[in-house]
Amino acid sequence: MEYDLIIASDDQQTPSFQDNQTQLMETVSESGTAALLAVMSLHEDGTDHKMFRERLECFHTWPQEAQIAFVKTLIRHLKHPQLAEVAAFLTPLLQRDFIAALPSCAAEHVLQYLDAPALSRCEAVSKNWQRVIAESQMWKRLIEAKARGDPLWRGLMKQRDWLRFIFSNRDNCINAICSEESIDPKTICDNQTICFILHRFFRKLYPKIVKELANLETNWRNGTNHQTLINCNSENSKGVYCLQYDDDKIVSGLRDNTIKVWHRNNLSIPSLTLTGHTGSVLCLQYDQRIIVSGSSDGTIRIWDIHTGECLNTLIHHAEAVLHLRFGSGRMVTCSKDRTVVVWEMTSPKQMSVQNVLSGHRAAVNVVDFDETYIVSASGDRTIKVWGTDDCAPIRTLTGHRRGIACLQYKGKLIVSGSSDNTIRVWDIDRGACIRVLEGHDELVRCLRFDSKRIVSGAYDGKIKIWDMEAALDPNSTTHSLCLATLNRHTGRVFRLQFDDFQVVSSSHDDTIIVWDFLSHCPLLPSALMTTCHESAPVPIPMEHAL
Amino acid sequence: MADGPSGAKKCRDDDVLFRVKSKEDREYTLSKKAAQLSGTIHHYSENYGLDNDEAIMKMEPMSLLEVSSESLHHIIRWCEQHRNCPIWEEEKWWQNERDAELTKWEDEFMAEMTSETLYNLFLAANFLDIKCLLDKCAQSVADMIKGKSVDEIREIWMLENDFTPEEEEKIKNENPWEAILRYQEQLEKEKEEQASQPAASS
Repeated sequence: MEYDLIIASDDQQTPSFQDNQTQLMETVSESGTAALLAVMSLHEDGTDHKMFRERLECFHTWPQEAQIAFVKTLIRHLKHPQLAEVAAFLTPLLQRDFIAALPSCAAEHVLQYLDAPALSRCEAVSKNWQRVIAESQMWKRLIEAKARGDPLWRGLMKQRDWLRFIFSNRDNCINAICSEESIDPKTICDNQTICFILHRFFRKLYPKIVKELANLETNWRNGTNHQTLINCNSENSKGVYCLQYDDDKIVSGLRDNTIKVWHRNNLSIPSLTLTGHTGSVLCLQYDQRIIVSGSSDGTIRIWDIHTGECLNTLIHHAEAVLHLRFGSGRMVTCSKDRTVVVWEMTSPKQMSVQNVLSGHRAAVNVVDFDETYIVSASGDRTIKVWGTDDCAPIRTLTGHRRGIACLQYKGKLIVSGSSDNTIRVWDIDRGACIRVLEGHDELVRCLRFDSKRIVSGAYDGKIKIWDMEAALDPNSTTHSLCLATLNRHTGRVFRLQFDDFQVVSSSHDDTIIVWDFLSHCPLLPSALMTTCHESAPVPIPMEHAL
Repeated sequence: MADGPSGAKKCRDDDVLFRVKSKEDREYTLSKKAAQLSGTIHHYSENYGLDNDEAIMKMEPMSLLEVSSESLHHIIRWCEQHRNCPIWEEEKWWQNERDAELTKWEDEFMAEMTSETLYNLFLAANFLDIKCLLDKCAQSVADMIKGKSVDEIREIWMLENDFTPEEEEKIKNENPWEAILRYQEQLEKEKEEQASQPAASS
């Protein structure tokens, strides 16, 4: 009774609570403590069941601070083993397992914000976490997010034909995986096994992709590649002046006046040969509908890319058409006649000259443009920058000591190659040369660049790969810039194009070479195998070698 | 009854109060705009004809049996703060130019939460289907996980390691990120060997 009185007196009298504490400690008997704890832990097997409940009800009426102080007081009366019991009782009450206890959609929402290292660690936290990650297919989602956001990931997965595993529904996905891992789909029907197979597949695929990308990078740095050679079998005058490629085809312009289209699944015979030009095909570009080509016969021809029909012949330049670019309803061509011509492209059959840019004092070898600038380079050793809309000259970049043969303009950069054997990197807005790349021994005839590298081809048949990031860093030393030299062409390299996985080049030696940096990687089997410890309930063969 | 001019109606938009009741039967109110952030309330108001101000003014409080008073208090704070935000879209949320002040407010709001309140808030946001809050909760929890070791993660939420040592070893061996790290180490080693070779031969 004494006990109840104290509780009553303490109720709603928080200020005087401290004074009561000592009193409390004295009055609460040891059995009372244990009893209350028993009530709290819901072991209602005590004899004083009713009494506990009444006291508990009374306890509930107290202010929160009073409750805490009271329980603290009780706890101080406990012996060490009892404390351990209380601690064991408390721990699960305090747990807030955000992954295992939240509704699965909320847990997935959290896991979606994690990267691979964090997700890997989460799997090792507890069985529950492991289960949630497997059930919600977090590795698949991570790979999908990467493939959506990173062109390199997407490109690799496309090259390896792995996109069929992601971005597809569960049934298609499980079928694709079963055929990949030689599992009979009929043998797995329960959801849990399907879930497990999917999970295991993607969690192995993730490191595999990362490794392949690391290999790819190493291959670019070391110049390690696998080559496929296309022999163009030109009739009389041999040589391939220009090319453009995509995943399905390579379109090449030849010295023998023809354009040959090669399908990538059969590189021995061209799938299409376009004839009509009466001089070498010096330059070309295509899109989904048309091929536009420029020739030493001074004409520009427009062809239907599917049928090969010549849709239009533009006669304007007085001499050979050396280069052309088109896009967004505009075409820019340049010629040995020293002019740059801007065309309005209404349709393949409706092309009209919009402007003629004069200023170069020698043949204009190359042009490039976007919505801001038109850039042209000439045998007169200069690069000229013009406004795209008004065609007004903006500035002239000088620095090359001999004529300029090739150039690309993209973003804020121009990269140019010259007969002085150097490549120069320019800041277009300032008109300043920010880097000179030396290494080629002859005229630099062709080059392309992206955010990672510059690839250039020269008259001695050599192709060089340069580190773009290092080239843009003023602190880099000159010898660190050239990563690798590709040497197989036996004649001048005329044109090249590249992407994250390959270089395709054409040469005076009448060949096109596809330099593939992805296949035939120098694999490290030991490192690849370390992830292949099998632990599946379903017998599944070891992972395929890459 | 003639409605006031449409302009006046718009102004009143914020004044119309939506009535809700927590698990503990305590009543709260929030503006109509703030209430619309909740998919659950939105759905409820459609089903119960609460599509005009008059109906809302006359409404009986909506019982939110799964939401405690404490969580509801935070939820209302969040919703009122976000009532003029554009509709939340998963992909576009971070592309939208965000009000720096709002982001700061959100971060402070989350910083106040203890593990317990955050957990309940997360559940409540899930129940009430408030997309922007769910997303923020998920991020906050993910931020607690990022960069932490397995043991540190267990410590935060007092989780029990229920793996046997054998299972643990297996997990470590199969761990995708460990595999990547091992591979990177190997590449580094090879690079070093390559670099040291010409020196050795000369």
